[in-house]
Amino acid sequence: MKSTLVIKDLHVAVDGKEILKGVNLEINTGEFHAIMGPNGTGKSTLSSAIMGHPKYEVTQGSIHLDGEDVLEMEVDERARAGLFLAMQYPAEVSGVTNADFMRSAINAKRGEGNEISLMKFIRKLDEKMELLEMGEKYQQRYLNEGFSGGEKKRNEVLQLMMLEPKFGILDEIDSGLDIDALKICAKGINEMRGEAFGCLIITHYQRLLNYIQPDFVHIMIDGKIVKSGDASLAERLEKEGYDWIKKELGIEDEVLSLEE
Amino acid sequence: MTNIRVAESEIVKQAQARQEPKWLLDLREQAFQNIQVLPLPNPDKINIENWNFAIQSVSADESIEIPTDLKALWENDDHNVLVLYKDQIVYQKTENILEQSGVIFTSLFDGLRNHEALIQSHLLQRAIKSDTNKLTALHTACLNTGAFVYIPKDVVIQTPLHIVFLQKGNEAFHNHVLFVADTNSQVSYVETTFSIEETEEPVSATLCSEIFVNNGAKVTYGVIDSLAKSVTAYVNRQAHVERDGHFDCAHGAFGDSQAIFETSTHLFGEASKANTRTVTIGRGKQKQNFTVQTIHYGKHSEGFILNHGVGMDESITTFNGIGKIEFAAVKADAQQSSKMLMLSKAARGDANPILLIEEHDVMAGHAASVGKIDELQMYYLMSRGLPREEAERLIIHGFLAPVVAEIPIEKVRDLLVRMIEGKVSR
Repeated sequence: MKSTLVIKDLHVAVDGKEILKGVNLEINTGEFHAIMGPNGTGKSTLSSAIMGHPKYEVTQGSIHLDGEDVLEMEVDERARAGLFLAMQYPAEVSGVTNADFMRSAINAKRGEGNEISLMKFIRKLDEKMELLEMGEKYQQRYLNEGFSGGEKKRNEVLQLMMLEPKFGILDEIDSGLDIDALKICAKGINEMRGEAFGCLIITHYQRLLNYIQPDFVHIMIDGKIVKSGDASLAERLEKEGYDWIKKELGIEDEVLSLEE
Repeated sequence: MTNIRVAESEIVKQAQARQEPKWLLDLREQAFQNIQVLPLPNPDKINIENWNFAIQSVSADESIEIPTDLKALWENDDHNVLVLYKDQIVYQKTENILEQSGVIFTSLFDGLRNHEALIQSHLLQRAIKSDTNKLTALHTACLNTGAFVYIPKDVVIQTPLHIVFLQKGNEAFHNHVLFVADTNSQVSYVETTFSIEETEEPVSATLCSEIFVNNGAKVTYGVIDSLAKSVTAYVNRQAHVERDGHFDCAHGAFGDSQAIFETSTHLFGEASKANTRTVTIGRGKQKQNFTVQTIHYGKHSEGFILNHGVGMDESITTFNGIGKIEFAAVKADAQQSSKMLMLSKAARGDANPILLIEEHDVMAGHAASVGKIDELQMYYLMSRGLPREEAERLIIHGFLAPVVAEIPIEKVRDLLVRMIEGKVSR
């Protein structure tokens, strides 16, 4: 069954400063969308606002998942409704093993009385970890504790694959990854491709899109999506940068103070 | 503090009935006098002048009924276990290998009958002295339960040793553990202490442990105490670690008693190592004060202290972590980390790191924090679908894992998890 995530006229402020200034976006399962744009234009803010990060305040607009009001939901309800955010800076939780955490998360979604069997869980975990070329030790290591930047990203993709959300939002999953690690993460994400999964890829660099082919590319500048197109748009950005778009749309450069 | 009145004649009568050696009877007699003249211990950041150590019920009743769920902890399990109530061994199961290798794993009083010389050279002579303060004197005078563990030279025991101590109703509990791991021996030991038939009446308790880790010995030492709310406890645990000895201690204070804890590890030997981890949950109006100290004498000695406390309700929890490096302990390394996780606005938590260093060529470090559950950790866990309570639960269990995950007996670990669930559920 097709699912749809609809974002309308979304305005988001952080510490009283407006970062998103009216974002419109519609994503269906089965589609891969990429959002590109210069630093500090609000790409990561969009992903945090969709997931419900406590610091991001939605001041106007709406987000709906299959008609349900996402903004009315707590963070955990959003996750159980089918949203997943692969974070740029995943938290570390000491004393909680990666495996226990993932099993708890899967069971939280499945609900009481419908828990995944231990055997089935382990089989699935082994399979996904093998695909992501993660050693077995990552099962019993504490959640993200002492993980390198690359290990954390791979662990985010592992969770995405284990939890199988309707929509995966990848917030700069490529940052801090060398080319081999990037290929492995891309392999995991591509594995998710199908009618039941939609993806929103946020990145600075076209490089990632060489490995994960988007169906749609959106360019965000100064808190708005200013242009949308197909994969060829990303290629043009790679060659020519953002200046031609700014010129075409008459956008003045301004110094943006907020780092994403 | 109200004068501690002890039923001296009754205690002496019981001691004589046990046919205790004369030196111990003498030690008791001296201690009876010392109770009145010695000062109380004076731990940092707490005043115990009004704490009630005065009530000493010394009933001669030896009958005990152990709740079924507690029995399940040791019945049908394959570790070596000893269950002690007062001077009685209530239950015992040991592998033949213990006896064959000369391991002594018994009650203190049984040990006195059969291994007197070995006990006399250690008991209340070196690590803890009876005349240190009012409560060590009280302990010596009223000593009514305890254990003696001796691992001979070069003996390696694979299966953990487990001792269960039982405190019943309003009966005073003065427990002494004498633990000796001789040269190059290796052992994993767990002691658990429970109150049963809890009453409203105040109960006084002293728990003293003397631990000797001789040259090259490796000891992992787990301690779980769960004494009732009515208990006021003084806990003094002293470990001596000799050359190349390793002492790995995990202590979970999961009771409801008011308690002061003095845990000291003396790294006498060159290249000796100690890892001392303590976790606790304070609830209700419970007051707990922990002084956890590692004293470095040996060159290249390494000491690590970890203290984690969860503060609920109106509880007060204090951790004084002390890393002390004596002169000439060249290349010693003293590290510590203390954290209080506060789950209630009315709870108080204090983490005081102290480094006392008399030598130049050393490493030392400390970290201390008192705070609420991290909002970004919560956001992360919840973003994977875990409801708020479940995310909190995971973080709390994770916070206490440095001790819980180290306990080598599965049934004890499972019990700890249930105890934590019970304590932090709101």
